[in-house]
Amino acid sequence: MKKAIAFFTILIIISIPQISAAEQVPYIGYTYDKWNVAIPSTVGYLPDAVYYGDLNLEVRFRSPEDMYVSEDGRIFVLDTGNNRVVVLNSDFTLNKVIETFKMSDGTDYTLFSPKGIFVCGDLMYIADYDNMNVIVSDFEGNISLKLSKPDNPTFPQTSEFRPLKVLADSQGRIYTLVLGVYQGAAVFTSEGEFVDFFGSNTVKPTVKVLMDQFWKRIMNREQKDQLANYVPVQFTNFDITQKDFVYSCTAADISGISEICRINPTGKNLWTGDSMGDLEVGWYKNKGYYTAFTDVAVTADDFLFSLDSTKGRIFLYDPEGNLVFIFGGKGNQKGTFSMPSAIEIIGDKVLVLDTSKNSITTFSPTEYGEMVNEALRLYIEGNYPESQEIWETVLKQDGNMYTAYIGIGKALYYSGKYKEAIYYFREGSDRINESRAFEEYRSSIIRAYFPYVMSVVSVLFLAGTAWFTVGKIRKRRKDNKIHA
Amino acid sequence: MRKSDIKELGYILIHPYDGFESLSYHKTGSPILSGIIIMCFFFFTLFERHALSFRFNFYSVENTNIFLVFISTFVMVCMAVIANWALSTLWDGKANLKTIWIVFGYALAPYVAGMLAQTVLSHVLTIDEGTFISIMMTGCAIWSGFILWFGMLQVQEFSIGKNIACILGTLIGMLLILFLSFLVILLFQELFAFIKSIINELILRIFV
Repeated sequence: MKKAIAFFTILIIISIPQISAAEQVPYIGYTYDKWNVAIPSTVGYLPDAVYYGDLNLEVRFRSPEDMYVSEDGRIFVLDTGNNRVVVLNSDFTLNKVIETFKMSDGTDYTLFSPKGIFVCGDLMYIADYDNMNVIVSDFEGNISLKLSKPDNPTFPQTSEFRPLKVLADSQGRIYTLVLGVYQGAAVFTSEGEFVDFFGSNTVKPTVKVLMDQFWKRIMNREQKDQLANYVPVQFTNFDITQKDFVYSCTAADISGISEICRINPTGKNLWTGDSMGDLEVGWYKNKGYYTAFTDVAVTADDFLFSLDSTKGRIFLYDPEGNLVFIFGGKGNQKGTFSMPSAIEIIGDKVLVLDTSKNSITTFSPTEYGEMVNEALRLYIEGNYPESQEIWETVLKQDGNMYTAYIGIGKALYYSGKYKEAIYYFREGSDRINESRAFEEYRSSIIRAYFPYVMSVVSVLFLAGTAWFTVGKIRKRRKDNKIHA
Repeated sequence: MRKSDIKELGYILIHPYDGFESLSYHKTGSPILSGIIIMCFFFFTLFERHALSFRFNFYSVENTNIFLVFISTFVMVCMAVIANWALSTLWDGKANLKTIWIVFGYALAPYVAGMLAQTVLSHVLTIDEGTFISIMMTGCAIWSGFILWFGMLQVQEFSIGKNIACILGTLIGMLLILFLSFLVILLFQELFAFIKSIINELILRIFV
């Protein structure tokens, strides 16, 4: 009996610290392998804190739909349900609330379920959805510009002008996403004149589209009108970098593929990553749960956070388009969301706005996440030797990190250790670099053994020739003897 | 299979027209050798998936299904042989099943050799030089096609037009066989399910 009590006491003592030490994360860290199959991975970002809309506010948040972090670190939350803008300091203390705006002629202006906000310099751009305006104002609420539906014939006049999202580039041009306008983002000059459309998706040639294309050739006009008209899927959101590169995201279209584009100022897509979001689609009751990106946020060094509203996950991509981390999820715990709508970055912290929970969740990288980010930064700069050390510690914690293998492989490749580099490139599943390393390795082998092989071959050749000649001479002598 | 059969195969690879003429006239040719080549087709397909170098290997070894590979190689060839034989008996072809088997097997020889060479070459070539491999494989496929074409022409003694029709007909015949075998499998599944339910019912009635 005593023994049993002692045993159980020890058991309890052993088990208690383990329970408290285990980090409680409401989501599972995972990544995708070379066959696009999900494999476990170490969690890169952990939830820090959740701020509900009671930050010394008289009225709490009501379904806020967008937020933006200005360059000085202030958070502008667009409180859609209360038709106001709440400005928070970067430490989540209340800075100010902007409820009424003033037009330049002195009349008051109130927002009516605005959907998008953008801040640049000392100007605030708001896509005022139900007022069918885009307004530009300063932080005191003095409106300097009001955009409504352009009467330009190139702008589709059939539907109402309902702006969803807005942003402005360094030249002050204003880009807006308008509901039902699939030609791309409508671009206005800083004076408010409509210029053009910018960047549009294309229709993906799926089997259904091609079949309809075929039928349209046969049908008459009336039948054709009955068929669905395929137009590109609209962007759901976008973000702009300091170099005026626009990152746009698109929720899944009929082909079920969510997309992210990096559009340069001339309107060309330069994104290099191939498949985005969750690569394995979950099916439940005949409904596929495809990734649907609702927002993107880009860091100063081109790392891309994209927010998936279907499963509430955040995908972090490096500037080359490789997947780094996946975190977040749907649920009711700290770090999960019910209807995530906007994502922003302050320093190395990630902020996610939840429309349904009226909350802002902050994430910050774990020790492991910080290590990976640092190594990636060095790696993108081309500083392979320095990144190699960090990658090696990263691999000790997560053997499924493909970029780590490639990073070490590149460091070894540039220091001339081709054979080892081949091993790491294979582990990282990088065919192109493996082939390059192999080419160098092969030529080093040829260089090392060519003299020996060649001398053996030439000795054999000489011996063969000699043997042949001797044989011939002997034969001739024999013949001569016979003739003689 | 005698030594002369291998010699004859070598001759046929380079002179398919003359080679198959003498083969069908003298009734030579070894069905065993042909079977070995077709089995090699299966084995090398499997081998390739494992042994191609990393740069050229796009197969997932973990997900390789040997049974599927077997069906897509060995069973496919068998189906082609049967379809061709069935068609040739309808269209007064001169060849019997054994000869058609030999023709198909011999015709595969360049392609099978190409596959082995591809596996070896993939270990010494880089991705940029991989074009050579694809050119070689295309060459081997064309070579195999030529041998099959002349073989059919010679052993069946068809005209050219009829030979084209015969090859197209063989493809359709293969599809038919595939369809019918699916049907049979499905029907048997139904049958087995029926028998199983009867047995279950009996057990429940008698013993419970």
